[in-house]
Amino acid sequence: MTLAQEAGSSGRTLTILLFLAMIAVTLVITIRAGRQTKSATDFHSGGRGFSGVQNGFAIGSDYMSAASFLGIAGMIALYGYDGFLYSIGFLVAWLVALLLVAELLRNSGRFTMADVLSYRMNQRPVRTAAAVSTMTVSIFYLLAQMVGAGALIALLLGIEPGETYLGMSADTAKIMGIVIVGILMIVYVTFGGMKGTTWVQIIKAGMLMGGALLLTVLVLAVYDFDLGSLMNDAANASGAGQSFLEPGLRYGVEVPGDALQTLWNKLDLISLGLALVLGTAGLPHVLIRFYTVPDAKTARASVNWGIGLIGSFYLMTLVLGFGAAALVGREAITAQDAAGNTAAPQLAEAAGDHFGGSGLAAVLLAIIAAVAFAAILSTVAGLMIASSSSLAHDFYNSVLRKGRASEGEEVKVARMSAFGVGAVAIVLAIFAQSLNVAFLVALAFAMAASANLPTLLLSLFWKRFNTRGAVAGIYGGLISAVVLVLFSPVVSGSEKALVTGADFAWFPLANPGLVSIPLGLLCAVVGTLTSGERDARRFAELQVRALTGAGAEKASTH
Amino acid sequence: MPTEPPPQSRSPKEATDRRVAMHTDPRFLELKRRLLVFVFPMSVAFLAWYLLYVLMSAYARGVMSTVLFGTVNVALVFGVLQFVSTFGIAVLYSRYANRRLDGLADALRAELGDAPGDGGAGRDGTDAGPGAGPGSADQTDAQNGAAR
Repeated sequence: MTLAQEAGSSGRTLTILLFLAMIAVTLVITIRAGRQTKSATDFHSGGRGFSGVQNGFAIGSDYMSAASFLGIAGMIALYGYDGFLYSIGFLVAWLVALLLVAELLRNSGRFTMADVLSYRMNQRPVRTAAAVSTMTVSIFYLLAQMVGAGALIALLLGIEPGETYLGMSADTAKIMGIVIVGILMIVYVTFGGMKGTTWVQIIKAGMLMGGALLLTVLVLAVYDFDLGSLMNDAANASGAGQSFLEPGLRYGVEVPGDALQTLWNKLDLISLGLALVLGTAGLPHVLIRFYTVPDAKTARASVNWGIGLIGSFYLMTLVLGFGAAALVGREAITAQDAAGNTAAPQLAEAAGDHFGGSGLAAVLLAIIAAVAFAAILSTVAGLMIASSSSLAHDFYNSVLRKGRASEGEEVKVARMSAFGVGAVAIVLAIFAQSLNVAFLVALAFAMAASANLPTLLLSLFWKRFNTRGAVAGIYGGLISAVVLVLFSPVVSGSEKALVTGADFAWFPLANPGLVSIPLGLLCAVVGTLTSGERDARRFAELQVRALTGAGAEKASTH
Repeated sequence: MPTEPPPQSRSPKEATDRRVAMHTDPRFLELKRRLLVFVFPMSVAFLAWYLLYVLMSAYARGVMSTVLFGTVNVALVFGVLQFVSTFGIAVLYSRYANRRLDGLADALRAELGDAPGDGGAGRDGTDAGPGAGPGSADQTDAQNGAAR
C-alpha cells in the first residue's frame, strides 16, 4: 500500500488541488511583485523595505527546506537522537550570522557577498572568485534540492514503481517534478526578483510553521501530552531500544572490531558539525537576505526572528520524528523511502486516521504534502536568486563591463542568468536524479565554511588582508572541499557511493570540513603574507561603514 | 538622534575623508571595542560549548546515555541546552547592542553624514571603474580618486 492509495484517490486529487492552488497563489504574488521590480535594488534586494519579522520568516524559509522538514523528521524517525543532533548544528550556526556577519554586511555591502569581500581589494580577481564560489555553492545545493524534489513529488503523489497516475509512472513523475519545480523557480525569480521570492518564502514559512505545529499538537494529543510515553513508545517501536534516545545510531557509528573505521566515523561527525556551524553564515543565499531590510538594526531583528522560528521548528521536528517512529513504525517508513523522507507525511496520515478516520487522514496528508511542496519551491527560488544576482552584479557588471553597465542592463542580465542557471539546473538534476546526491547539501555547507566565511571575516577584521589572500582563501577553501569529497567514500569505494564499481577514495571522511576549513584559512593567510599589497585607507573606511552604517544603502522609496 | 542636519552638501570625497578620519576617533575606537569585547569572546564561548556537545556525542556516550529521570537522559538535556543557549545569547546580544552599541553608532553616523557609500565598488578607479554601477557612479568616481 502506498501513501496516497491508502487514503484513496480522493486524497490524491486533494493533494494535486492544493499543489495547484499554491502554484496559483505564488504566481499571483510573483506578478504583483514583478510590477514593482524595476531597479537593480528591487531585483537583487527586494527594494530593502522588508520588516524584521518578514525577513525573519523569509530567512526561516530559505533554511527550512524540504530536506530539513522531511529529511530531519525522517532521520529522527529512523535514527532517533542523531537526527536531533544534526538539527542542532543548523541552529547554533545562526549565532555566527547574528554576532559576526549580518549587521556588518548590511552596513557595508550592496547586493552580494562580493561587495564586502572586494571592498578594499582589486575588484576583478576577487569578484570573479566570489562569483565562482557563489555559483558553485548555490548550484550544488540547488541540485540536491531539485533531485530531492523530483523524488518527493513522486512520493507525495504516492506513485509506486510499476503503477501509473495521470499517465505517469514513478520515473516520469520524478522528471515531471524536477521540470515543474525548475520552471516555477525560473518564473518566480525572473519576474518577481527578490521581492516576489521573498513573499513566496514568507507564505511558505507561515504554512510550514502552521503545518508542523498542527501535526505536533496532534501527535502530542495522541499521547495525552505526555512526552515521556511518546519517547518510550518511539524507542520500543524503533527496535533499537534505549539507544534510540542516545547518540550513535547514525553518526560516529562504532564498528565492533574495526577501531580505524570507528575513528573515521567519529571524526566524520566532528567534521560535519564544524561545517554546519560555520557554513550557514557563508551561504550566499542566506547572506543576501540581510540586504532586503532597511538597516542593520532590522537585519539583527530578522536574524532573531529567524533563530526563534528555526529553533522552535526543530524542536517540533523532534516530536514529529519520535511520533513517526512510534505511530508509523520503522518498517512502514522504510518501505516507502529508505531515507525516511516520507515519515512526516505518513505521520500526518496516521494521526489523521487516529482522530477522524480515513477522511481526515487524506486531508492531513494532502496538507502536509502541500507544505513540503511549498518548502521545495521557496528554497530553490532563494538559491536561484543568489546565483543570478552574483552572475549579473559580480561577474557581468563588475568583471566583464568593469562596472559600467547600466542598472537596466544589470537587471536584464540577472533575469537572463536566472533563466540560464535554471535551465542548466533542470538538465543536471534530470541526469543526477537516479544518483544519491544528498551529500551535496553537506558539501555546500563545507564549501561555504571553508571558502566564504573565513574570507568574509578576515576582510572585515584583519587590516593586513589583501587581494591575493582573498583569492587564495576562496579558491583554496573551495577546491580543497571539492577535491576531498571527490576522493571520499561518498563518491567511490563504498556501498552507497556515487560511482559504483570503482574505488579511488583515499580520504576517509564523508565530510571534508575538518580539513578544508583550516586549509582555506591557511591559504588566505599565506596568500596575504606573500603579497605586499595593503590599503589602510580602504580598510579604515570599510570598518567605519560596517560599524556605524554611515553611507549604507537605503531602502528604495516607491 | 542627529543634533545637526546631516551635512548632505559635502562632496563625496569629503565624506570618504571624514570616514577614514573617524577610524582613529576615540568614540569610534570605543564603539569598536564595545562590539569586539562582546562578539569575539561570545563566539568563542558558544563554539566551544557546541564543540563540547559534538565531542561528547562522539566520545562520551556513557555519560550522554545516563538517564536522569524517566526517559530523559543527559544527551537530551545537553541538546535542549544548546537551544536554550542559542536563544539566550541572541537575546543577550540584542539587549547589549541596544544599550551599548546602537546609540553610539547612530551618533557617529549622523555626524558622518548621509553620503552614500560605494557599496563595495572597490578602489581601483581606472581599472575596474565604478563597480557599484550607475546611480552612484558620480560619487564612486570621486571616491576612487580619493582612494588613490
